[in-house]
Amino acid sequence: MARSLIARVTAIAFGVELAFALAIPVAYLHLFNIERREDRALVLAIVGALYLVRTAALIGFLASLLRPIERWLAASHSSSQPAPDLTRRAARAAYDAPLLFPLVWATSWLLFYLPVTASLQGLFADRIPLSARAGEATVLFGFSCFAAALPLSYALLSWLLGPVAGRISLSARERDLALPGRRLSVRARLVALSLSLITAPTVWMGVNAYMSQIWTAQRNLAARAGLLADALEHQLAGSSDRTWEAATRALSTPLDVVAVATTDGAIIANSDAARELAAAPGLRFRLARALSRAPAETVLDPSAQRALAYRGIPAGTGGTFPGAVALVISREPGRDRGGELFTLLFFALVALSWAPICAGFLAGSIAGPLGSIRAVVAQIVESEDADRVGRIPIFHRDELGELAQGVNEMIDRLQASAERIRRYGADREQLLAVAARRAAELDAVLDNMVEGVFACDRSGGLTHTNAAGLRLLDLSPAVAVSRATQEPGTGGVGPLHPDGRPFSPAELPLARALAGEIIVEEDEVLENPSSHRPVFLRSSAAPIRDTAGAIAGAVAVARDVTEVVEFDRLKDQFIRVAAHELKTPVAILKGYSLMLMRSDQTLSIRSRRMLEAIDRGAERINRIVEDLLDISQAFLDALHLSPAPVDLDELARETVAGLRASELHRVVVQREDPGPMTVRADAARTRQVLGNLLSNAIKYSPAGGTIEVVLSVDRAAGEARTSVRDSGVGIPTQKQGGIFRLFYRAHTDTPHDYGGMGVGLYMAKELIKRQGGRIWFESREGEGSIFSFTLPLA
Amino acid sequence: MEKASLMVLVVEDDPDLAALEADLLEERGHRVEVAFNGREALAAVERASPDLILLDMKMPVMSGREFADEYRRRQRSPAPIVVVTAADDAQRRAAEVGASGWIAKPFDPDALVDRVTRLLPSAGRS
Repeated sequence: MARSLIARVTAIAFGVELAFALAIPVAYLHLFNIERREDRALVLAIVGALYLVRTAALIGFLASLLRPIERWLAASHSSSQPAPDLTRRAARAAYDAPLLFPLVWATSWLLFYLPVTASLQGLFADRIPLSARAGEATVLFGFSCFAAALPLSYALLSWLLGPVAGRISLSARERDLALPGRRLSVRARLVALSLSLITAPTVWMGVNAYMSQIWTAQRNLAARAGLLADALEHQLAGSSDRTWEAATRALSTPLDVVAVATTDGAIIANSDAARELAAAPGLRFRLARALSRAPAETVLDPSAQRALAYRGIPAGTGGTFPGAVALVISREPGRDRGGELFTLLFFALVALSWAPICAGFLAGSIAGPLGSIRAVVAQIVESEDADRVGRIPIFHRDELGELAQGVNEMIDRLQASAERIRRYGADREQLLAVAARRAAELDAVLDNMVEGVFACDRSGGLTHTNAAGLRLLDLSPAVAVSRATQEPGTGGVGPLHPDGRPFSPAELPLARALAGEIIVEEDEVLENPSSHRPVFLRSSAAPIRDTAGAIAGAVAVARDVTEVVEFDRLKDQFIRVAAHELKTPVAILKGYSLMLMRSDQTLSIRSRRMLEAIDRGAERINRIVEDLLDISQAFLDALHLSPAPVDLDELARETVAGLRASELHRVVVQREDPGPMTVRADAARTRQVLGNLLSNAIKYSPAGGTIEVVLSVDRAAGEARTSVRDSGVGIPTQKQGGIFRLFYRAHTDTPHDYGGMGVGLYMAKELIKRQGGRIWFESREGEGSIFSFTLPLA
Repeated sequence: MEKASLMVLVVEDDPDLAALEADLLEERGHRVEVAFNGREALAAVERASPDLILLDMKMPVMSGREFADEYRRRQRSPAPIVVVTAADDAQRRAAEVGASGWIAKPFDPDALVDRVTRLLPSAGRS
């Protein structure tokens, strides 16, 4: 196969050419009017020899052009990949050969008959009268051959080499090699073809007609010259006056005759034209040559500017006239009908075979690539899988080649995007699987939570409720913290605040979270519809924000804390009841111990001390009872305050006066404002607060220290301030944070631990807070503390 | 101690506390009747017609409040009542039963006596 490429191309190309190559010499013989058998044989021999030489050279050239392709084919048939360099050279050859080789080939036809004509000039100068136009005619004839050969050979070669080029292009494409080779557009090819189709026959017809005119004129001239000469000879022979003048006169011919040269060289002319001719140089020589060669024959002189016929005339009977006559005849060419018919038939024969062959091969070289493009496009359209689509071979470097290249790149992109889509799809499925697993995990976690979880979208519609949430919803539709927002009036008792106020829809946790609030551990009270018992919910809620930070929804977590609350309440009630029950025994203890100490004057000191210890113990129990009751009241939210206008100054002084164990400390009340200091407060509770602060100040101050109670009024803020200032041990910085916490004792396990439950400051804070005031402190360890609280002015 | 001797009815379910109250008052020269619940108190009122009643609120059989209502219903000119209670809202409770005053448990013995003396109507001196 590999070896056969050159052979196949050569055989087909030169085989097709041979048919025409055989016809052309026939045209040539006709063109130059070579009629004698031996002359024709000679010409054909020359043509044949030249043809063999030329064809051998062309085949050699073609083989050298195609060798890289052959080597490439051989390499691709063996298992090894052709080298990139070889592939490039093969591609260049496959694309360039159909362009380069036809040019050389057609040029060989352009030049082919020049040596033939030249040899005719030499060989047949005597016998074949060649005009001065023979060179031009040969060139035109060659050009017509060129015009005919170029499209034929191009069409042939591109048809033959196109598929090979296609194969090479596919291989190069796989290896990302750029394709070399000269581009020749379809447009240029079609224009060249049509030019050739017009030029070749037209030029051939033209040169043929022109030449046949010349031959016809010459033949006519020769014939008439012969007739003239016969007549002249006869006249001369039969006349007494054997002079040229007499003879020509006697002829009385209407011809533009005539110049006569005599053997002695005299030239006799009978007309202006003849005289002009006689004056031309070289006539004498040509006449002499004509006379010497063939006295009885008419010779046509192709070198003269005008058609001339010579005829030697033998010496007459009078012996006075051996000479030649040159006849100048005005040109009036007769038409050679037979020659024209031959020309037409010949031309028709050649053109009818040549043009369709050219067109056919050209069409084939275009249709092949188009067909492969169409096939691939159909594959793309029909196939669901872009991966299976093949690539289009590039037959020629032209518009179709570019189209094919474009489609190939389109397929590349299709495949790349199909690959991307596949990868994307795989990624997506994996992500979805992960997301589904996460969602399942999350659902499992959520559904096994004790807390009810409710998620809603931006409009407040529930989007997710876990199992505990559904139980809460079943318990009471009003639990649906968000349902209440979207379906007001769905019945049931709405959630209540712990103090009994109903929730307004805007107060519900999800609604507030949708407004951007974060709610931590707020309590709601609901009523269980079946048992009519209260259900305590502790809810937290927060907005859900999207990536841009806008609120996309909200989530609320609600826990049923009824048991905790009830237990807590039970505990508080227990404390309360227990504390109350302690009051009576304390009263008995205190009452009798006091009574005994007072009434019995005979008591020993020892007995009196015992009674005093009993009284102090009872007093301590009493204080603990009071603390416990205060705490339980605060927790049960049952602190009953009766605010009324109170003179702060008077209250402070009363409190200070009522202090026990103040003998070791000095307590002074200072007022920084001379005006009235009437606050709105519960007098007893305020006294309790101040008492707590003072007892702390005393407890943590060294004996003999002064404790100041400073009263001031800020009328702009509408409040009065009470500060208790001591110079005691102070509170360590790290302990200051929890100072108002219940049961918090800053001095536990220190030398300053003077006992107590850690209730006083807590109660002080609770009581001040409930009266609309603030309480705070400043303290430095070792330097003392200032505790301050405000109360609203009355 | 130039104080008039009054008849005080102590209504208190705790016998020790009742005894304490009685001792304190008797020490000051008052006469004391003790009842351990509201029903007994109603009987004692008939028997002793007290000048002042010290009334505990939480008692078995008949509570202080029930007693107060019943007592007022029966008596045309009832004696003043002083509520002795451990409740936090002693004042409110006292107002509820129409008492003339209240003493919170545990009480200061002197304060009890002082309160009783001050609350006693002028009738006490007659």
